[in-house]
Amino acid sequence: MNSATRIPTTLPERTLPKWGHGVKSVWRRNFLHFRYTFWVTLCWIFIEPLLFLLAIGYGIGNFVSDINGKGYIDFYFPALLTVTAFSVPFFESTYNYYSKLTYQKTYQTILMTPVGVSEILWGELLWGASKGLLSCFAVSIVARVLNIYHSWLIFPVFMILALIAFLGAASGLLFTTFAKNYDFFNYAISGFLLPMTFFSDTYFPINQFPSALQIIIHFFPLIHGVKAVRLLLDGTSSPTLYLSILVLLVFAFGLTRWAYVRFRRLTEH
Amino acid sequence: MNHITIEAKGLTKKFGDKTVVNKIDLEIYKGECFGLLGPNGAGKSTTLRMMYGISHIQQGELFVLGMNAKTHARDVKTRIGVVPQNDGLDVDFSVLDNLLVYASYFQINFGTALERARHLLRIMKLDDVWQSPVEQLSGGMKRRLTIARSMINQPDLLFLDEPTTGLDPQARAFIWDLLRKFKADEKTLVLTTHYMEEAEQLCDRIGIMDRGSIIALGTPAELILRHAGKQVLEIGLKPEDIPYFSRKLTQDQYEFLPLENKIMLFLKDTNKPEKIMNIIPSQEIVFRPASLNDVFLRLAGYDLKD
Ligand SMILES: Nc1ncnc2c1ncn2[C@@H]1O[C@H](COP(=O)(O)OP(=O)(O)OP(=O)(O)O)[C@@H](O)[C@H]1O
Ligand SMILES: [Mg+2]
Repeated sequence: MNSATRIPTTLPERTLPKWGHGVKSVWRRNFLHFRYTFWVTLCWIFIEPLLFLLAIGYGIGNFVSDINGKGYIDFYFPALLTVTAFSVPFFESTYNYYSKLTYQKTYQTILMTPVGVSEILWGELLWGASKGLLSCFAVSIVARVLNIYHSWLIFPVFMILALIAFLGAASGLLFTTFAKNYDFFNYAISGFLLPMTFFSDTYFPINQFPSALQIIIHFFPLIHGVKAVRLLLDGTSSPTLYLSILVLLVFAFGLTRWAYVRFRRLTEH
Repeated sequence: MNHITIEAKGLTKKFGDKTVVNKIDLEIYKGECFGLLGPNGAGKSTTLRMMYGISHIQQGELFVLGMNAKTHARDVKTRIGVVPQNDGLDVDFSVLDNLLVYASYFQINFGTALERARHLLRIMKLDDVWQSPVEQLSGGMKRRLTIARSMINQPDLLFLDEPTTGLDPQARAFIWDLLRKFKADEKTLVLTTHYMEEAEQLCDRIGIMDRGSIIALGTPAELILRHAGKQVLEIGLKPEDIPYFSRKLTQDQYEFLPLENKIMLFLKDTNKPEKIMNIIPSQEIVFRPASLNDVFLRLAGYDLKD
């Protein structure tokens, strides 16, 4: 797309994409497609967390005495949930949605029908988030079987995970709107997603970093998710918990709006 | 006077500083088949895309089915069918699922969608391949599936951007038949094509587009009479002789078109073929009725674009 295809500024700029019937249709399209590969995916989303929990939680964790008075696996498990919630939708809304935007022309076709850009955006973000939640569900089952947590608080935790998954989808889609080819996503992943998942209080506590680095990390969404999930799973309802949720909401609002404005430019001309 | 289905006034589209559609005024009537012809890059697809609501209308007015296309694109879209130039089939799905998924965008309930999809697949002779992934279909099958898809919401108005490009003669005839049946139902068709035969076979009226403007408009017969006369003389010549004879014909105020190795001469009632043979001594002279092809060549075929 070149600048010539930009929409003229006379179009009213809405702050957030509008909701409509079409959201369900777009979501369901993805769900129907997902059914084609359902069983393979299902296996993977169980095997993956098992590997992570065994290799990192128990394997590496074996060499770590304890963190903030907790066993390593208890420190790591909320992070695994959060990272899963964020990155599964992130992958979906980068590679897959980029194909739909370009080679497959899926969105162009949908736009010939009464379904509008806003509904496509909501449908896609919610689909990404749904996939993230499904994976989190598998993580929590595996962890339950391994007896890592025993708390009913896992249920409210899923509300926060839903928010994080939505954020993952929105971040991915935002990257997609900047992409010129698939290589771009290599940068998005090794330049954004991976560093963020390493340094967001996930595999080790961040208080061992220089304070400048700690501040920088807080400008990215993931650490707020990790904090919120960890606090809630511990059963602590501190102001930090609410603050983290608030920050996540602000991120969700900002990213959705930004992704929407850019996505609209790419699809309407 | 017929009912108007599409009305465009001063419709204009620019990409950057390139004007692709230039102040088009056009009326398309209910129940007719309207054909848009023109060389590559003339702006046919862009015009259609504005009409079916996926290209932003920058300037001018456009009313489709009595609704303002600028403000009511969504309402327009529920009542039209679209066959875009590139099929745009969903490669993630099988033949039947393509129709069902598309139907769901129109909020058509599953039972109705399934019934309509089965019916359309039968009409389109696709019922044997309903389970195939769409990448496995031949070009003709893909086109038929795209047409089936465009009819899933039972539209009153159908847009077809080059419906038969790249298809074999049988497949083309099949689609023509189908579109005739569709039209017989009081429905309106708007299509673009590069095939004069297709336009002559299907279209009640034709607009010829060139560089963003409609340069001729009318029934095929009117256009032929107006722009090519009744008869055409094709005079075979050596390329190096063409400039000389062109000058002579111009002096005598003949209407003609010099081509690479022949001159096409459009005869008026007053012209006598024998006189021309005196001017141009050529062994290869063909005398034939004028056709839409002549009109097209004359109006838009002077050189190769893009
Ligand atoms: N999105 C776009 N951005 C910039 N230029 C465009 C865009 N879409 C079309 N054009 C240009 O507009 C012109 C008209 O294109 P259009 O597709 O309407 O022509 P057409 O008459 O349908 O041609 P064809 O017979 O080859 O299909 C072309 O020169 C094309 O390059
Ligand atoms: Mg075209």
